[in-house]
Amino acid sequence: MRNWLKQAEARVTRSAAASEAPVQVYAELERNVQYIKAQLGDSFDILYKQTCIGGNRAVLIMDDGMCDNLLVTQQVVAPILAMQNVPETAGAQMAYIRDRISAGIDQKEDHTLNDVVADIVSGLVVLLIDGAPFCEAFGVQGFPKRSIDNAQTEVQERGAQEAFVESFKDNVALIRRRVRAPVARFELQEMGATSKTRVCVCYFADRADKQMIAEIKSRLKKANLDMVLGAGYLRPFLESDVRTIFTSVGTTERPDIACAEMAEGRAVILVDGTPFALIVPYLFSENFQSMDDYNHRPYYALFIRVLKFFSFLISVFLPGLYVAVCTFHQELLPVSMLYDVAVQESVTPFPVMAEAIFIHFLYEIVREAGLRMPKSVGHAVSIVGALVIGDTAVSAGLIAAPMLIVVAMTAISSFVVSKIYYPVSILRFVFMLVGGLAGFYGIVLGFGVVLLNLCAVTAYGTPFLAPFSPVHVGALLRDSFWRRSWKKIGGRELRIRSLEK
Amino acid sequence: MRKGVRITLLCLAFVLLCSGCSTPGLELKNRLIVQAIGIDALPQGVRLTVQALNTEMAGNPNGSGESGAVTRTLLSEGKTVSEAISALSKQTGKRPLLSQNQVIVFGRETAEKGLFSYLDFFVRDPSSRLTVPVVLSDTTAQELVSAQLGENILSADSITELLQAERYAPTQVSQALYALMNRMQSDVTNAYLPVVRAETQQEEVRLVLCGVSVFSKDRLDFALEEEETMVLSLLTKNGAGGYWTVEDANRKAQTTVHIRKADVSMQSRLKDETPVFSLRLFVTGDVVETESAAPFSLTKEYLEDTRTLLKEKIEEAVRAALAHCLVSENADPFGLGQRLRQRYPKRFSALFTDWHAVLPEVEYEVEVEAELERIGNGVENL
Amino acid sequence: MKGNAKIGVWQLCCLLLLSRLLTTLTFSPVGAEKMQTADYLPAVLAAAFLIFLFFVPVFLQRRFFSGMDITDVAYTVSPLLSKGCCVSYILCFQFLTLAAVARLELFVGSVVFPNNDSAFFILLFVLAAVYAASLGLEALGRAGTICLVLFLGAFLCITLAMTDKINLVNLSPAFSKGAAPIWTAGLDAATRTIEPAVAAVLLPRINGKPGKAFAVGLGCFIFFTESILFFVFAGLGDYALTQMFPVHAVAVLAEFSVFRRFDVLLTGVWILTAFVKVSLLLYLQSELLKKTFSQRPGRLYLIFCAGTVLLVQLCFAGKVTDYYFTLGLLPRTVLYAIFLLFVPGVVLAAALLRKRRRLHA
Repeated sequence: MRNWLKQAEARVTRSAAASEAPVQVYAELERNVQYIKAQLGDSFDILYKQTCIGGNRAVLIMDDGMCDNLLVTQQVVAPILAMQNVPETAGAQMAYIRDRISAGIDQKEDHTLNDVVADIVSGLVVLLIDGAPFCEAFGVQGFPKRSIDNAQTEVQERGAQEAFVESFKDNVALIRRRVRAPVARFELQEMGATSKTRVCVCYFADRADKQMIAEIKSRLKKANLDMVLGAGYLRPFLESDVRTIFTSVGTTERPDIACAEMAEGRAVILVDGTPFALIVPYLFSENFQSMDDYNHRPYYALFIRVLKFFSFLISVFLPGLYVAVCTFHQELLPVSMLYDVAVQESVTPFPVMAEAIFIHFLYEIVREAGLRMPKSVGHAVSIVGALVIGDTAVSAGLIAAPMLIVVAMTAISSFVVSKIYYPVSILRFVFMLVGGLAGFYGIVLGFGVVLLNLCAVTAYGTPFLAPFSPVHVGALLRDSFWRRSWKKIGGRELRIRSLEK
Repeated sequence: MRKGVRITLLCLAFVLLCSGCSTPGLELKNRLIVQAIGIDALPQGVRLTVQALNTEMAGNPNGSGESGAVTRTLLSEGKTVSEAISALSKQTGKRPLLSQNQVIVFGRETAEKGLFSYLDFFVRDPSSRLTVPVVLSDTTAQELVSAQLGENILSADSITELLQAERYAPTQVSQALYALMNRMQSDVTNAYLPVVRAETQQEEVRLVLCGVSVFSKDRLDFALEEEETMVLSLLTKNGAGGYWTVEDANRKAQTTVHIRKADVSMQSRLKDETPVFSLRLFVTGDVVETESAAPFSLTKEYLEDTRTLLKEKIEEAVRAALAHCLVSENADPFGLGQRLRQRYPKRFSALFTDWHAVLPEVEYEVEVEAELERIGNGVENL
Repeated sequence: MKGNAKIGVWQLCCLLLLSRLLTTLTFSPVGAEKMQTADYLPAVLAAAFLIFLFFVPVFLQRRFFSGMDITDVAYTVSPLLSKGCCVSYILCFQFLTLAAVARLELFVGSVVFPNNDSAFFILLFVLAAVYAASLGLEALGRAGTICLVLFLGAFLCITLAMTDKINLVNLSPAFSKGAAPIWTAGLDAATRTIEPAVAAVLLPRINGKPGKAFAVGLGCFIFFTESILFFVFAGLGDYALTQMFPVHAVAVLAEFSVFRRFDVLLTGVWILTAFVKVSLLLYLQSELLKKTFSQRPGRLYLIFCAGTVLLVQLCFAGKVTDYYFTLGLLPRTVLYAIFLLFVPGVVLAAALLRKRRRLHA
């Protein structure tokens, strides 16, 4: 079965790993231009400017949309055209331009045509001179980009509002601006055989474990990807070896959180074109923390974290428990509540489990529709959903009102722990199924399996459930549910590596 | 090999899901929610009178007003309690749910024959609550459970409300199922149950508590007077909340004292193989009412006299109750024997093979310490 | 399979304590000689003393053969003895797994799902346990800590909700029949599970010194078992002894406000604790099988062990009468004598002699 599926997939796909051998830059300009044109085709945005430098023919090649024309003129074209006392040989001319003429700092020398093509599409201006077996590339990128905006998914009550954007360099700058220490490292590597996406591993050299950083880089290097269009593409390569529904790779769109994570010895991975950063390793307890916890007083942070944890429990277990209680363990309901529930459930045509799964499925449809539609239509979807499910279905006797209350509580609770919305929504269905088939027994067993699974996860040497299990008293007291005052923890750094057991 | 593991897991998952489908749970709509069970013995078995919630009649969420009666009363008969309960399914098409049962009622005749055979089902059934109160009907359980008390007034609620009176008027005592079983199974302590009667006044039926009955093992034995019940409450540390009225012959007045705090210390010893119990009762009360022919001030002397009178009255009542129960009826609902056995386990087993036969020879010393703390708002008698 | 992962000594302590407390939760007077309820309280101290004695060979093993499990110690005498030791421990753990599953089946069938066939639930349980065992010792150690915390939470809730039902009069007298019943009950409690055997096999996989953890674990066992039994007998009185599972009955008795029963908490803790215990036992069997035969089958050993448990449980041991047999005092005492005194005694003595001879040579 599995082999058949593999074969079926192989029929429509091709391995992206096969890459061509690098082609050295030719000494003849025509051959180079010919090669580049063959690679890039007749794309209208690739501009070729023929010129003559000290008697040698030369060509400047750039991608129109990816470069800042003003910079190209000021830093490259104008100085080259205006230069005097040009050396005679092509090689010397190239060195002269690089060292004396060009006003930019971002320059590199390419020796293979593969690099040349990659540079052109990355927004660099490439200078080829007839007779030189290499070329010079000038960084004058200036593509259209979104300006830095407010965070959308991690809204904060107090504290900074700005979020990462798609522009990779801006994101690095956002981190740099917050940490003006020489220990911050931003190490670049390219990923994706076709997309050549830039991926940056950011960490604090004095806190991050070197072995961990080396492993992250090695995993990224080994990732066999054709295109990298988002940070999510890299996530599976960074996850722990144990398969789990929760993830040991976190995401954030907030530069302040990225800095805080780096300060604890973790690595933050920025991917060009993605306004989210990946955080490794990421612990389960971090799903219940937010930057606001550190801006509020500790007692309120404790309250909010406990609230979030209970919301998590409600959003995962409440529908399953409701199904289990109504199907198997009616004795658990208080008398007055039992009467109300019995009265409502007696008129619905479906079994409780089917009703629960159906209504939650319907809710997920409405949510998904509201999420993907334009805002104006999204509201309409919500209204239709509320009217159809909330009012008509109950009054028609299709769905019991207590079930609707359960759905509402579950939905609201799941938004409180939005970081783990996806695993939570899936687990909810699992527990509804288990609750309907095996009652409370099944739910406890399911909880046990999830717990064991979480306990088995170790992300880069750090247990996923740390500091709760294995218990690490120091970290528990410092910043788990309870966050100590900045007076106490302000001067002392926590290192994620210390949670290893 | 991994493939093999996967296939095995898939097979197991398949079996698992199939098994799940074959053993569905019983949903609420298939349950008959029992509120009260009345048990009457028949010559050839048992008759159950069950008050169950009527979810169908009240279950229209459209609010069309078709609410009907909240409960319905069902009668069923069988050789045993479990058979009679299963017979309920034949009438309703539902499986009875006993976990929310609020009260178990036994008829007087049933109690006279013995309750063990009827209680066994409730002890064994996992859904039954151990804390469910048990009461005795003055007539039959059917009369009590099926009493029509008015629209939407449930006899189950009414009985449990009556039992709550224990907190405020210790002329009443109640017994949960587990406590009743403990006493019935004990060979030294006697069980007791409150008795409830349905009375008709001006065509209106109401339930009233009409005393407490003591059992010999599981059989109904004798009834306690109201004052004896108050003593029972005092000796089982539930005496707070009671009212005692004392008469002052010198002043020709009577005073009612509300007992706010009550405690008891029971010491036991053996004197030449004769059990001796020292009962020390500590009561703290407030004067709540006075009545006399001529008005007088509530002086210190008056309060001291009242305190002495109260002390004497309680002492007298305790002695009378003990004499009645221990000597006349050979019964020990106060748990004296249990105390002695806890203190002298080996000697108790050796000396008193039949504790109830020894009860008339038991010696007891009763001492009451009474305190009056408050006299309310009035400073003199009107 | 993470065969070389180590766990902390406190994690092992949590696992063993959970395993021990499970036997307190599953305490059932059925089949045992009727005792006075108060006799059960000093019996816990007797059980603790016996457990301490049974742990002595484990401490000797650690003292003289640090970094070796009991089968490694046997290997120093003879490879055949080591294999024999492995097989006997596998059978012992298999028996314990069966006993735990049998108790769970009885509980599930009698209390949780009296109207349903319990085979499905046992199948589900064993399947989950196989998965948990496949995650390795580290995961089990970590989960054990969390389960213990949940256990304590549930215990606290039930005791708080039970406080008003406590009445010392309910306790029937202690020592009324002398000390003999107390020692019998102590032996009965001590032999309900076999932690020293687990410790003997897991010793080389533990980080840290076990002395303090053992003392705390034993202290916790005494405290919690005494508390649980006190609440059971002072709350329910002699009625407790009429119940199949008195601790469950006391949880049914506990009530707070509109919550009329707390047995759901106890049921949850019971299932979770049994789940961790059975997973650990399956893991140990699989590791010992690997050691005895070949490393290659890996997880298939787990499936084999779980399959055997299922087969025996569903086909041969599903009846209440089998349950009495499985948990009878005599077979358990024999098991204890063999695996905690005879086997380790013989192996340790032989290995020490061999060691001394080598040193002299």
